[in-house]
Amino acid sequence: MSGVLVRPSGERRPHRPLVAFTAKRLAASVALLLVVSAVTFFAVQLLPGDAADAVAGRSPSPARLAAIRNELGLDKPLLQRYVDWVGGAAHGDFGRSLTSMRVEVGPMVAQRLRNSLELAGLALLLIVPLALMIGVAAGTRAGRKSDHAISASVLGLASVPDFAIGALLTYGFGVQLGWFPPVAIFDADKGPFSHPSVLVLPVATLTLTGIGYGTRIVRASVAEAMQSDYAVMARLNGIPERVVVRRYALRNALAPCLQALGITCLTLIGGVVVVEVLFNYPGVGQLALDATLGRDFTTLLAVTIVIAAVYLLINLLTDLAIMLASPKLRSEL
Amino acid sequence: MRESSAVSTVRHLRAATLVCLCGLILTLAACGGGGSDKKTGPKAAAAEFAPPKADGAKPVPGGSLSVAVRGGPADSMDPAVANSTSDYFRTQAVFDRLFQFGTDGSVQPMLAESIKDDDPLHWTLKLRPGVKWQSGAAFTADDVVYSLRRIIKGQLVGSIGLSAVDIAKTKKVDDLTVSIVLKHPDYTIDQRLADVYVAIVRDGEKDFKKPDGTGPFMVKSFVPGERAVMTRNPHYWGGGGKPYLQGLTFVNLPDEQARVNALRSGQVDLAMTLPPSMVPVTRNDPKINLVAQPGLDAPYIYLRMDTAPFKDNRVRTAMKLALDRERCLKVAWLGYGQVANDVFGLGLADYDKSLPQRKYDPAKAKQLLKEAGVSNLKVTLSYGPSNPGMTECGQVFQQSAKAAGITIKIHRLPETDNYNPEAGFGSRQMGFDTSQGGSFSWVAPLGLLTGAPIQESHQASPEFDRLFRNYEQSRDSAERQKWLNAAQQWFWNNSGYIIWGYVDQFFGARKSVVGLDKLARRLLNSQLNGFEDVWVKKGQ
Repeated sequence: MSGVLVRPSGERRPHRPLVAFTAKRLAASVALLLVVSAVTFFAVQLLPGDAADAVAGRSPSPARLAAIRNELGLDKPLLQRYVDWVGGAAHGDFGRSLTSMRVEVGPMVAQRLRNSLELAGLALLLIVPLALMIGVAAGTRAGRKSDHAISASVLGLASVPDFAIGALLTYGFGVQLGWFPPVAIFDADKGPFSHPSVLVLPVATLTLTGIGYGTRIVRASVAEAMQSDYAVMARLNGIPERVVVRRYALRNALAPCLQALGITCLTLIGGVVVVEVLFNYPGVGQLALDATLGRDFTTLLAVTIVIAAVYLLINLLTDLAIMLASPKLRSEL
Repeated sequence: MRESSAVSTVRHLRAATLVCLCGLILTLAACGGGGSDKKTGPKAAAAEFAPPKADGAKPVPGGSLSVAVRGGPADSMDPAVANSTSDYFRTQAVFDRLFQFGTDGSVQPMLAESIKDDDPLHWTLKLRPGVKWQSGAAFTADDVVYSLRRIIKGQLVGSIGLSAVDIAKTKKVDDLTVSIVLKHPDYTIDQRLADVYVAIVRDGEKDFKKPDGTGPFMVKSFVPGERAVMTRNPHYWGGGGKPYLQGLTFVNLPDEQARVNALRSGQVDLAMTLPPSMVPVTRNDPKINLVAQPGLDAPYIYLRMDTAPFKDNRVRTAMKLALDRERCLKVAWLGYGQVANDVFGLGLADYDKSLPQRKYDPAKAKQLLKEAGVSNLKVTLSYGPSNPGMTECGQVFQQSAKAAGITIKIHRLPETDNYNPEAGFGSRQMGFDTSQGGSFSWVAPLGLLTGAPIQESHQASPEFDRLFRNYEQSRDSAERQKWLNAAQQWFWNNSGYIIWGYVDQFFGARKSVVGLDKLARRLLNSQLNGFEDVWVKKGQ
């Protein structure tokens, strides 16, 4: 026996289908990142001005501008600059910032990425259990007043923009009550845990804006599962309700919940950018904004690639998790 | 089942709408401040928002302060390329110049004690003895010559005012004496050496990440776009125990609301560069003092003079008459400031006080346009809102000009493109800019003389050049003033500049912070030093 299965169509199924699937997706991701970097690089060139204008000071002479452009390599042909950057990035060298006193981009982006991941990670640690708890509470009471109250509140919360929630929290808890810092001031290289209180309001903002979608999906999935034939049969056989919820409803609602979790993570990426600017939090979102305004294309490229890579990784992990939770999907690989 | 789910959805939507409305109302209430305020005029601002007094207490050494500034990704600690207000705060805490400006515009000693002409082309500069760099090395003439050479040969912005200096022949005479040689007479050379871009750096200094300076504070760490941490310079020449603070940290907070929030919550001790719109939000907060910097900025509109329609002086004058300046000040700056008169340097000792105040007169503007044959004039005002008040003033201008038959189309750009040549800076028909307390003689070489580097209005007038050069080259002070007055009169009558107001800026300080008089003085030529006087009162 070779261990290789043959599908009804006659096609050979890989020995380890999940590994093969993952390898294919990773390869495709690398190709996609290359495309993203090229699109970003050439799109930035369409913006008027360049980094030389940003660093030269007021009213530089043409000779001084030319000297700065030469120093920054901005006078080389576009394609050569892109190829040089790709070559360096392949070896982990993302070049030097064009505006921030020529600091190395790699360590700067890594430091900011860590800050952003810590922020998003903390929010996720709150969103997941809260969405599960509230979603299950609403789903097991589908159609009742408590379900209406929960669903309306969650829908309302999801409808309020993140900057509005952030502004309210800032004013109330930061400025008026003074319970938490309204602005995230800390050494970017020491990380937010050097001043943990700065995380409270940004994490609260991300949590309140991110909880809505996941809760609604959990609620809908649980409500549907609770009305399924096997759940009804389980109740008729005298199985306690909480066992029916845990063993029957939740297990069968897992796949859509994982999908919702993946989408929540992707939405968090966008939310993190807004929250970082709102709270002046030194993460990749704030860095991307500064790099765009300063025409610092080396930093902007690195940040774009990092965000795109995180996006692709979340998609891959979500798909893998759904496959692991769903034997039917695994058998189709 | 379907009906009940439809009803359920409707109920959800109703409830959700109610929640959203409540949230919106709360948000709007949160964004609101202490109500509108209509105090106007410089006296009102100076009286109500005067720097706090120490009530007889003597300065107490010690303590550290955190200062919120606007900042940006292109922050620099090189004073010769300082690009923003936050750069000026940082670099002027670390570096000094040879001279500085008094509040009346007079030139006063700083690192130099005096400068004297031996003849129209040869000047002797005497340096202050006993000054040390933060590292402990002695400050000498070598540092001065290096600094001037770096600026002139590198064609940095300070070289504009030093165009008369023959750097090849300028040299050290001894450790405390420099011989400055000029290519042509220039009796404003002391003013040029007081320029904030002509700060003195250590001989050979190239790396400005952690530079050596003679100023009251020294850089401990600097991260562009984030913060600059400074400590007290034990060798500071200022005397009197200054600076009093042990530490000073500049923190970048680009958003003005964020600066105010950080100040009110105590995260920072000072929040600089606050526009008047922050006054209602902060004036009644018992934990902070709001301090006015009178007449800080001169926002202005420029008209391109070398092309139609503004090539005709009647059209330019009509535009100046078509702006309701009082209303601009009230709408754009809540009345905090004073109406200006189309000439830089209002209120300084050398300002020509005989110039009549130009007023809003749409009828006369219309008449001038008719004489020029351009009734129903249509023009475009292009700008990026790099400074507060630009948008509001643009709208006021648009409305007030209608009465004169002028249609102004507003072309708004991204904020960062206001000074971007590739986004049209230097070739716009009309645009916005701000002069940070620039005196007339400071601004003229930058943008008013033929061939000046800042080509906003493209003024190229041999007559103006002649008047200004005569001012620069006259040795006698009365004679110089006469020529300067003539240049100002020419400018008032003919320029492409509509300088409509001198506006107040504000900064906030926690109650315990005093010694703010120098920081609160009228801004002149971008001078933003003064942290050496600041100290913290105990028990507050």
